[in-house]
Amino acid sequence: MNKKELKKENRKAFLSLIVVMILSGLGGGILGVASSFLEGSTFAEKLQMTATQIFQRIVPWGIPATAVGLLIPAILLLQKAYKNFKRWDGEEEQVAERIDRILNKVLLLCSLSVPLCIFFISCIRTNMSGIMFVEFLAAVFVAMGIQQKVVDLIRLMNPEKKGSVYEFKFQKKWFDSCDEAERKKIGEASYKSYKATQMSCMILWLILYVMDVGLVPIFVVLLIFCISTISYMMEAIK
Amino acid sequence: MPLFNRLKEHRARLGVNQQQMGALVDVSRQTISQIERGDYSPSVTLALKIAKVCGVAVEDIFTYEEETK
Repeated sequence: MNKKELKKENRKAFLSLIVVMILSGLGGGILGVASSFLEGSTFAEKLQMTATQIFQRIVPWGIPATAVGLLIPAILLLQKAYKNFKRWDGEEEQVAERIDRILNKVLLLCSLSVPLCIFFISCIRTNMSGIMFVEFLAAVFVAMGIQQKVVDLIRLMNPEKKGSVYEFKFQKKWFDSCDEAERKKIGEASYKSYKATQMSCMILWLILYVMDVGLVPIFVVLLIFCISTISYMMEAIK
Repeated sequence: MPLFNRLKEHRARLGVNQQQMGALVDVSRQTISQIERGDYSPSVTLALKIAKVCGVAVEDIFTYEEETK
């Protein structure tokens, strides 16, 4: 590519950027006017009160609902994976791929359950009962147990894999035992996660700014944005 | 993907399954499966390792063909 082609490409992209910036500015202006109507109004307060009332009703059932909705299906899928493994002769690719797909679904369900439980326990911080705390601990330990069973099955199918979920250095050990293709996949997944975090933080900041919920939530969102950006750039620089 | 391979044939000739092949070249069974399906192009190092284990030249297993537009 020569300088002329480079300039032409940059000019094209720059024009698109200008159009997006003008449209964003118009959108921001409209939101700014809208937020000035909200300022001093009871809308934000009403919304907060309504949300609080809804959460107060939902939260006591949150952890049991998470267990029923996420952890029990995860356990059932895990059993299915182990049944398939018993039938696997070490050769048939389709069976191995089926097991891999099931285990990925199990991990997804477990990964969703832990932050949900943390959210629900955070909501009832001041009104927490002993039973709720026990439910929370049980859900977290069951999720960890399921994840360990997944790791055990993966290690049975792939003996070169190392690490236990109960170890503090599990992620490093597991990553170190991954080969080039697996590391490439992890890299691609990490990049997608980075982009999703960046976009989510921007959208959240916009919502929090318009809703005028205070500085602390905005600070937390921007802190996450900075941590994500800095860790990505530090790794890219290496 | 422009990289074609005959890894499955050579693996069958050696009489090893994907897991055993993976152990011989220090990669996972899944990576061997992905290479055979053409879903993953191995690095030069891995391609050379595979060729050495199979006892053939790299070109006998992997061939590069330009994608026709």
